[in-house]
Amino acid sequence: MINKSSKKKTVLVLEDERPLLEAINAKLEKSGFRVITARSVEQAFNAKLGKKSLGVITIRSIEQALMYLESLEKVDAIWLDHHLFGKEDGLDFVKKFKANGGRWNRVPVFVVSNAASPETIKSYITSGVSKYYVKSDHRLDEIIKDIKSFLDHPKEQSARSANPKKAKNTPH
Amino acid sequence: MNKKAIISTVNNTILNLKVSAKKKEGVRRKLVITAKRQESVWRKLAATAKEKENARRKKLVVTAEKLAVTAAKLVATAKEKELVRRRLAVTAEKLAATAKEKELVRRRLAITAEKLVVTAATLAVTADELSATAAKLAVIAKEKEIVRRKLAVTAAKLKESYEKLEKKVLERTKDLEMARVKEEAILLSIGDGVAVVDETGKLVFFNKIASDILGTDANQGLPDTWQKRYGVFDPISLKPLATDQIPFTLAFKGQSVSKMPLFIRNPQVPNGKFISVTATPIFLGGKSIGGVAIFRDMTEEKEVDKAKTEFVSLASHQLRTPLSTVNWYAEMLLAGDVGALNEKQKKYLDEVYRSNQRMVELVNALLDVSSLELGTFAIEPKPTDIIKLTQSVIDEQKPQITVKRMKFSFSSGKNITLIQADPKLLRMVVQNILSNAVKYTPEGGEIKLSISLADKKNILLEVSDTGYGIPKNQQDKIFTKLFRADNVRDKDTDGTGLGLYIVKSIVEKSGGKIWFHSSGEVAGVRASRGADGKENKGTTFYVTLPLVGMKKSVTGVK
Repeated sequence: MINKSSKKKTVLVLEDERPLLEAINAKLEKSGFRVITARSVEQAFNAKLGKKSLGVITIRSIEQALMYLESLEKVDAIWLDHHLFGKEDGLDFVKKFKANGGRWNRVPVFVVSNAASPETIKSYITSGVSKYYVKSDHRLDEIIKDIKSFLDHPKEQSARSANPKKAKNTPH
Repeated sequence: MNKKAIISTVNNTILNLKVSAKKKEGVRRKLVITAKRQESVWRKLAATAKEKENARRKKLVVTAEKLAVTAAKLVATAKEKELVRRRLAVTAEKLAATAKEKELVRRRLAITAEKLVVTAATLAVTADELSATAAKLAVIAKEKEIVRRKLAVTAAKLKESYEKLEKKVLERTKDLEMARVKEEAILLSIGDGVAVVDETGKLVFFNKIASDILGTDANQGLPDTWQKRYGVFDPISLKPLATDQIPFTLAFKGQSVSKMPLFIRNPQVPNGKFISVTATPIFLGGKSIGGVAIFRDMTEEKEVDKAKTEFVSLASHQLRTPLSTVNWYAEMLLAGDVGALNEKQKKYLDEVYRSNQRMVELVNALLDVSSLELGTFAIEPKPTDIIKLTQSVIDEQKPQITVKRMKFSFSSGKNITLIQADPKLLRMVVQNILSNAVKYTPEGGEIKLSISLADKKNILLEVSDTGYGIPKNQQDKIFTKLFRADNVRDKDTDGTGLGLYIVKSIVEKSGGKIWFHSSGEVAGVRASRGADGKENKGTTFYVTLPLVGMKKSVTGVK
């Protein structure tokens, strides 16, 4: 069990919308990820967390997320929504997260949000996130497939994100 | 000649001369006899003459005696006659003097008379003239009299008319005053600002609203001071307008301006106002004598419009969350993540999923429209390969093209360079036009897509289909927001009526043009004919885009 789970990649999911959070969680687990989500501050810090430490942790605010990040030994990817509980949004999270430097800096961030104003998207991209998805325009399996391949071939993926067309047209 | 001859000749001559002398002696003797006869005749005659003389002398003496007596008598008479003659001479002298005097007088008289004659003649002429003049004067006098009479009549009439007129003028003035007061009241209380300038550009009238809009000191100001006084700006760039661009300037120069958007911010008034100005020149006899400007305060409308668009944007964002939820749960169910579905469940869920997809598309289109209208559409041009971009749109549409068994061709000019365009927006243009062609062409139809250079500066995208066409009577509405032609609404309920509106907005913002040719007939008729596939001549859409491409536009709000 431990071995199996250790092979699994861990995704931290930040999403304030409960039904969406559950769907993401379910699909990620189904796709073989270890998922950390948080639904509320209480949930994040209550005793149940220990029991569910390998399961679902819902993070609905940045502080929560950062706290978890501090306490966690390993996160392979972050699934981030723009709108979050609290005063700060996903963009603030990315800035703080990246500002922390060190080991967190290389963790890819996938923004999956409906707040798709071109300006917001641009801000995320310049802040160093790996990819931006308009939530309603993409299937879950599409996004997860992308994340998977990104984690499996990080160099190729970063090359692709820099020049997506070229990458797409390259025959495999 | 010999001597004998000469002597003979001389002897001859002496002989001849002796003969001649004897003849002459005969003649002289005869003449002496004749003279002695004549002497006796003369003596007899002289005796006769002596006798006659004596007789004549005797007679003469007697006569002389008689004559002497007569002479004596005559002398006496002569003496008397001399006396008389002398007396007569004296008398004659006197007469002569008198005569001279008389002659003088006569001469004078004669001169006077001549003068008189002349004068008389002159007088006669003058008299004639005078009489003629008199006659004329008489005629004129008559005429004048007639005129005078007529004038008198006219004057009377005029006086009457004048009185009537005065009355009417008074009444009319009252009416006019009433009308003026009414008009002024209307102008002053009208909901739009009204201002009038004269030909120098000076404000001569303005109502309350105009003064509210322009600021409180709206009663003065010539054109060159307007900018400083009222602060007239372009509503989008908020840059001050040049004097000759200010609607009033245009109006009193004879140009009309219709619903020109402006931003007015009087330096003395706290908030600026968005207004719409309609300015019209006032013409008198073909000459511009000023202008009228109507201001409409658009500030509120603009805010409402913005709020509306923002609402749509916000609502759409909010809509996306539940749409995403439906999407993802349906997706997981269909994928069998929570157990296999039976056929019916799968079919039903598929309907849910596809309807939800349509809703997502509609919301996306609404968001595009709202950001286009809000001006928050970021345009980020970069060198773009339109051919590659089009190819990827085609690849996306390929499944539908294949399913509908359509003939499809794509041609592009070799000289197409990279164009400066925002790939995301360009993609929306190509994608909308091509997907429309696929959507609105029946199975087995044909679609042709081509990209070429329209001219040196523009690129031309052409998409033609053999589809249903656009009804003639609805062609003018095809780019209208939320409009869908009747003939396609009958066939296909899937469509937002936003695609072409978005495309047109993008194309026009990029400095391009979009138009189409369609053989579509009047709605209804077309649909029935189109169904049997006989008259599907289809539609061709044309889009030109400048090679220099779109202008960069940074997002405005939010």
